[in-house]
Amino acid sequence: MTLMVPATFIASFILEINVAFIIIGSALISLLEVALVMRKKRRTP
Amino acid sequence: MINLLLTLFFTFLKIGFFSIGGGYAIIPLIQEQVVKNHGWLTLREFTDIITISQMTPGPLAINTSTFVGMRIAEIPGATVASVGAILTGFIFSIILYRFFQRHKNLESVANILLGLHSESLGLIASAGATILFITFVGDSKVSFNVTNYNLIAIAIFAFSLFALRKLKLNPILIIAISGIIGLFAYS
Repeated sequence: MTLMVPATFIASFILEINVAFIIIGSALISLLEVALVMRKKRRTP
Repeated sequence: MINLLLTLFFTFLKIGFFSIGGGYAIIPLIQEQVVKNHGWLTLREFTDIITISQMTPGPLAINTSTFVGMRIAEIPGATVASVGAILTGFIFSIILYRFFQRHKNLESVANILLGLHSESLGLIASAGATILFITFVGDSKVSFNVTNYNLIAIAIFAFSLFALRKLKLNPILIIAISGIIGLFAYS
């Protein structure tokens, strides 16, 4: 999540990627992380 | 005129829809739509509007929307832009209120919000860098030529930063002092 700050900055300021795509991408990454954490928890006895 | 107002309304509705993080996070969204996509304002005009919005009372996002709308289509423009900017947030807040009340302790919801906060921070930094370079260089891009930099602007920036962070002066006082310095330095 901390890496998302410089990544968003680079995507917006340097790469000039559309802000809407950045927001959608960030939401998807957050959802993916949540899914991974939940999967890890389920596997841990 | 109606077409312009409708375009303005839907543009700000779209901006409102994606303005997660509020405040400064809305600046790059408005900039992209108003300067890049529609060409209603130049980057310099947009930066001036941001400055005026910061000086006026009320939330930055609403003030900026109102000023941009006013600049494009007078009072009807200001009205539709402001309503468009807040409408999505208003509807979503009502809908999501119950959801977050019910799931506020859910880890996944907290993690998603944390991710979106990080994204907002990156966008705010990007908006800050854009404004910084427009003020210092006159362009939103980094310049490696030292002579392009406006030394008066850098000095006022350094003073404002010092006054705000170290001296803990009131931001309104800093704005007033910077304005007076600017008045004498640029005249």
